[in-house]
Amino acid sequence: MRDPNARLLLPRREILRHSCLGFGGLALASLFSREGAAQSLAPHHAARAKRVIFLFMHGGPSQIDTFDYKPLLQRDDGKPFPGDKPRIQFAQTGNLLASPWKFAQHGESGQWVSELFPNVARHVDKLCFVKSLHGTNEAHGGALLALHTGSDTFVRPSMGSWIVYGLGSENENLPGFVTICPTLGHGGVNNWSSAFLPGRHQGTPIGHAGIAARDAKLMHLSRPDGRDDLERAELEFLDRQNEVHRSAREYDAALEARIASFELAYRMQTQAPPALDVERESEPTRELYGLSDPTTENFGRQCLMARRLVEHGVRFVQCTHSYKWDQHSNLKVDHEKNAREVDRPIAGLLEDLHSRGLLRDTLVLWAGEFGRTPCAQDGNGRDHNPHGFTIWMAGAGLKGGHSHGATDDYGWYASVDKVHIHDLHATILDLLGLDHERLTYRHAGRDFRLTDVAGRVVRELYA
Amino acid sequence: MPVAALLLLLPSAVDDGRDDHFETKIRPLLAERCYECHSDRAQRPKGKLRVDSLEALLAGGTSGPALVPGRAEDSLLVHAIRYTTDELQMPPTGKLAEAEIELLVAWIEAGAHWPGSGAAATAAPSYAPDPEALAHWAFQPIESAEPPSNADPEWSGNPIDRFVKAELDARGLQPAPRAERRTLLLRASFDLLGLPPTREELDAFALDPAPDAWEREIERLLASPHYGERQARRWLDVARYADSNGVDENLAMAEAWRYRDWLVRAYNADLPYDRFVTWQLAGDLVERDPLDFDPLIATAFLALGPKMLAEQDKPKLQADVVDEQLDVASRAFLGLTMGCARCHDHKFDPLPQTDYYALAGVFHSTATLANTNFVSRWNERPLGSPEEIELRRAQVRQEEAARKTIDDLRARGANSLVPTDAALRDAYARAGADLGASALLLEAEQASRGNLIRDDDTYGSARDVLARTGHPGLQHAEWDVVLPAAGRWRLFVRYAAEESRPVRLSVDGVARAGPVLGAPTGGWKPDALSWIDLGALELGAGRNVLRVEREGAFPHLDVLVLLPEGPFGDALRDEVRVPEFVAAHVAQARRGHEPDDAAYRLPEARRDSFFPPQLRTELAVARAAAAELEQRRPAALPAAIAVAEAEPRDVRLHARGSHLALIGDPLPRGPLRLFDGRVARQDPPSGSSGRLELARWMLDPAHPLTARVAANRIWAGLFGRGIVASPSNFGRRGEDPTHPALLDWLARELVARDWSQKELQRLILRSRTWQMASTTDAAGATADPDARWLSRFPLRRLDAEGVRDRLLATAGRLDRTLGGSLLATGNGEYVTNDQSANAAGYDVPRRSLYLPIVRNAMYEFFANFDYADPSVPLDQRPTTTVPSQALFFLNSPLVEDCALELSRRALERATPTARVRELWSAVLLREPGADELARALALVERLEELQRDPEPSPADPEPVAQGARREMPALAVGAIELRAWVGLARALLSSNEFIYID
Repeated sequence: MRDPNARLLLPRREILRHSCLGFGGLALASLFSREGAAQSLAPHHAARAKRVIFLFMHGGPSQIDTFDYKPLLQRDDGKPFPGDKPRIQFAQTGNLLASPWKFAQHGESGQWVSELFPNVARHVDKLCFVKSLHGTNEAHGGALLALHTGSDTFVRPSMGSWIVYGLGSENENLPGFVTICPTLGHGGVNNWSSAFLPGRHQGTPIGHAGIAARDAKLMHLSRPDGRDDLERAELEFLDRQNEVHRSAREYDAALEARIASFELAYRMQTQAPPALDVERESEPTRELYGLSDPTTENFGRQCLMARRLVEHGVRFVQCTHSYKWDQHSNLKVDHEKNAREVDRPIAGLLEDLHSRGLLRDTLVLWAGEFGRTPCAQDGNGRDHNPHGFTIWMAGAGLKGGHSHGATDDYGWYASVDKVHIHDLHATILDLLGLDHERLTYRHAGRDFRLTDVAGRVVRELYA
Repeated sequence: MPVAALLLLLPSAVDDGRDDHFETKIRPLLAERCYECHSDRAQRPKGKLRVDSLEALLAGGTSGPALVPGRAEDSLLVHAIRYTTDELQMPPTGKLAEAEIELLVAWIEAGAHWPGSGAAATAAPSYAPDPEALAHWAFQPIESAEPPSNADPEWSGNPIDRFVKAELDARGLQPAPRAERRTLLLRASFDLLGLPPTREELDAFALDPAPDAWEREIERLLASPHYGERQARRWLDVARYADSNGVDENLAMAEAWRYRDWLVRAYNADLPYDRFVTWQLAGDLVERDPLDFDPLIATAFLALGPKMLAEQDKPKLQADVVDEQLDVASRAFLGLTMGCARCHDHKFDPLPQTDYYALAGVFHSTATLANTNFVSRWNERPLGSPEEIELRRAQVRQEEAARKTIDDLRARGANSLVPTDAALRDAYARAGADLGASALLLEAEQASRGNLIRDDDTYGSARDVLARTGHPGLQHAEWDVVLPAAGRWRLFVRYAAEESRPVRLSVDGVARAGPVLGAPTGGWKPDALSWIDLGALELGAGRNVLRVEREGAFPHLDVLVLLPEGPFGDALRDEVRVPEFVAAHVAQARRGHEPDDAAYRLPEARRDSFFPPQLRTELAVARAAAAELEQRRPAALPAAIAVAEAEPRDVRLHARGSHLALIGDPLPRGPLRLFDGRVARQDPPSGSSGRLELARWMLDPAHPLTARVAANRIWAGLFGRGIVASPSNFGRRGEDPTHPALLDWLARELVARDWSQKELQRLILRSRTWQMASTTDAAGATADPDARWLSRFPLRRLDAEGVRDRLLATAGRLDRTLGGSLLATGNGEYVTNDQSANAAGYDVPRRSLYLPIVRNAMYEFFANFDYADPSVPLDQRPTTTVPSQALFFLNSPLVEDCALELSRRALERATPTARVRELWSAVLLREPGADELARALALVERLEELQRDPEPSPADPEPVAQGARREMPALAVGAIELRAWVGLARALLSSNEFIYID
């Protein structure tokens, strides 16, 4: 096994190592910021959160079957929707379809949660709901891209990339932005790509949606033969070889940076595997996330990996419950199955973050790319609905047990205190201490923002 | 006061109640709902718009004038308050009431009367760019400066050197000495071919005494077939080339490779840059040999972009496609960021929004999409001579005609089935009535058991309730039929199916031979419900279980009818020919439906057997003819992604870039007005898009941008940095040129040399400037830190393709085959979806140029080495240095395999020293120094020693579950030796010397 304290003990490296340890990687960061990193790694203003865990429910969970209780929808089951249907619809829908699940009020705050999320319901007093989120794109690809990058028209940097670009990483030995088992469809890598931002802000995928979380690994993270001792010898030789090469070119900082990158890579090999290894967790913790139950094991593992990663200083971690929530038909059976897979892991994550004191300055975001229509598609399903849907956030100094905004009586359109996806992005950046109008990057002749030319910080959510 | 102004003021002087109307209705509305953000009340009016005077409304804000008096539909304000678009909705907190909106609309329609205001409707804003923007260097004519004179003979032979030396002298900088020959050839090989030279080539050139040795090396490289590969790759970045669509629906563009291979051919043949540009914009419109498809293939440049194919707002999709084309083309050829002017006038460059939509008209008049289906499709064109294409078109026409003949005959037949005279209907009705009493009717949705679901909404209706698929997997339904006595019954089913979904039928567990209900009926909904006779069943006394089942989706079932078989036949009169219609009448009577034509519907396949004999004969003949025609069908022609002319149309200005807020008159399509009066422009001939005229405008010798942009890209390809360091942005936000006079001189040379790119490269490669060493001293490093003033040659890291190709070439594994496609996915099929990674195999030793470029799922190696995103045009690859690149060298199978290959070759040598020399020669293309040799031998010895005697592992600080520790494989002696040499080889492949080029 590796000795995590092992270094390539060469005199010149020592200096680097000390500066790295002493300044939290800032000195090294500057070595690696040759390609236009953020002006400053300090936030623009006091931050409420230092890191983000984004629980992405791919496919579009139904707001009116989970958190957005609509008594009139229950009453008017089977009747026509009394308002206008949207100009562009993904598919044709029929009449109103009542939710097959019962809703009840939970916690001291009395927030409504349906039977789909019994475990999350125990934590409603930690949750801050936005029930009036709206976007524009009615197809998965466009909606995913809008949620992740702010644009459903152009290829733009992902919000994780913007955040890491703005704040840097708390641990230079790990990537700042990690996405666990992301989908390769519906925008694929563009959902975690840095687009025109420097490439090091790109999300680092661990596995993809097609494989189980237990098989998800970082690329090339360990030497196939596991021989750390051989590697050290090789690296010492390489270092010497590079030093001789550099001596004739001592004014090119790129060479120095690449020499240091091997040092960093070596340390990353040491630090990353434990950061990802949920086997190191205690039995009760593993149980908390549902790791022993085959139904919850996969997403539970993702959530637990996310917690370990943020503990190790990763800035933005995304867990994807992949493309399961798209119930154009068979709503009852499949939404129930989906909710069972994530309910306990999410509750476990909230509890675990809370008990470790991490929830204070960690933002947990739960969202799908859109919600679903109150009218039936295919008799027992629901179509896509980007016009009004529910997301929730937790931690980060947000109001707990709070509900912001509302949809119409049937849950189709956001109607009260509407929050656009741009506003959500502006708010997330603000929580992290970043001003969405000042977090810019010059590309192709103009300054780009995550929020384009829009976005309003929804301060009403702040405690 | 001028008369005209007086006249405009006059109406307000007349008290006709309009003042009153404004003060009581309009002003309060504006004040209450808008002033907070758009008047004096706001510290900074939002969008720089104020609505507290008519002048301010007419002047508008950042999005242009807010209203056009008398023209509500052309007024941005109206679009904003109507919430026409998602981009601009005012007030943002909630829409005005309909009555309030109508009030404002009517007010604008009536002329937007504002008491006391002298302002009046102004004409569309004229073209009046900011003089400061117009004065920008890149918009000035290309200078014809003489190269500065120079006393230094080493720096005065080549005009390029005279420009560069003058700049160095002016800055007090000393140029670096000439680079060694080995360095030069290595540098030139990567710049021109993207491949390393061989050790033999280096040795030969180093020792070549001929005075023209360097010139001959240049010619050898320029003539290599690999030259085009390297040059093409640079342009592919600009053209955002990929083999898949990306964004939402990642479909394989399996014909894209033809464009890539054309580029390789074009560069190898030194296609003049003017034709290079013209073909990519309008190759379908130039005169060409009918069998020369290259100009057509070149237009893929316009069509290769990522498109939101599943965008359901198809006009928006169209506008986005045009925007993408326009943006890529203006960046690539003009160095302008024209895309910025989609929503508003360009903030920095003199590019008004009206020019954007004039240019957009050219592309709106171009067919880039083949269709706008649910998932739309890009355009492709067949590659064949006009005769070959016509032959196939004729074939299609004939096949269509043959199909139509068959369809017509069958329609006649179908008509012949529907009883037209009351007598026949009566006959069916009577037959039905006779049997009605004993018939058994089983509603499909009332099955005794099963998992089909009821549908009276989406596919079914209140009258025709259907049973259909509700779950994945096996579908089944059972009906219990209880009979007092055994007997023969005939089963009829009414169902609808757009595609064939045959099901199995069984009675009491005994399966009937062959599938049933497999014939499509023309749709899923009640209007496609048809009757089918499933023949006789033996049913016993008591309970019988009728069961249908199918793996997967089910046909839509309406009703089952059982008629007693015995008397059934007898009841039929002569004129009653179709047994299904009897069952239909039974069902209609039983369900209390009025008899209607819905009874007389059969699945198509069933109808034929009831046609009159004459018709059946005709049908057989027609089918034989169609079959024969199909036999003769010529093989399909290959196709290329290409654009075509579409119905020409000028477009109106899109307020805020939205296709829902069209303002003003259509803008005549054509190029920018920026150089009007200096650069000739031609109007497109009627019926044409104007792409050819656009290309001609770009290539006018007086055009200030095209030649400069091209010359700068050629320069950047040889120095790693352009004279303008932002090669696709020559606007005011781009970088200023370091050597403006040199850039102009190169641009003029390029045009003078008939736009030959090779000629310009020759000129540069022969310069003393290009042959400089990359070394410097402290003073040089301070005064010229990034070598932009060319006091030395810039040190460069190989790009992703360079790293991979060099690795493979070094290991002797590189397959140098030219051209072709390695994409594993069929054209138009999904390359990636949610669950599956890209099927493209990258584990092939072909040059990196030929590896599939899959958007949304970029080959990790490419992404790791800074080629991340093939969806947007790249003008220069960034060079980042990140630990994941180091991890690739330390742990990837590719490097491991190459190191293994090199070690095997080295081990063929007898002595350790010879092996080290072999490795150095293969990897670093030189002899090892004495120190290097000693260190290499020491490393090998150390690696062998460690393997024989593994050092104990230090304790792990965090507890680890059992089984996580890796077992150390026991190694044989030969393997120990091999692994040691692999270690050395890997270290050499990882060295800076291997991936940095002096």
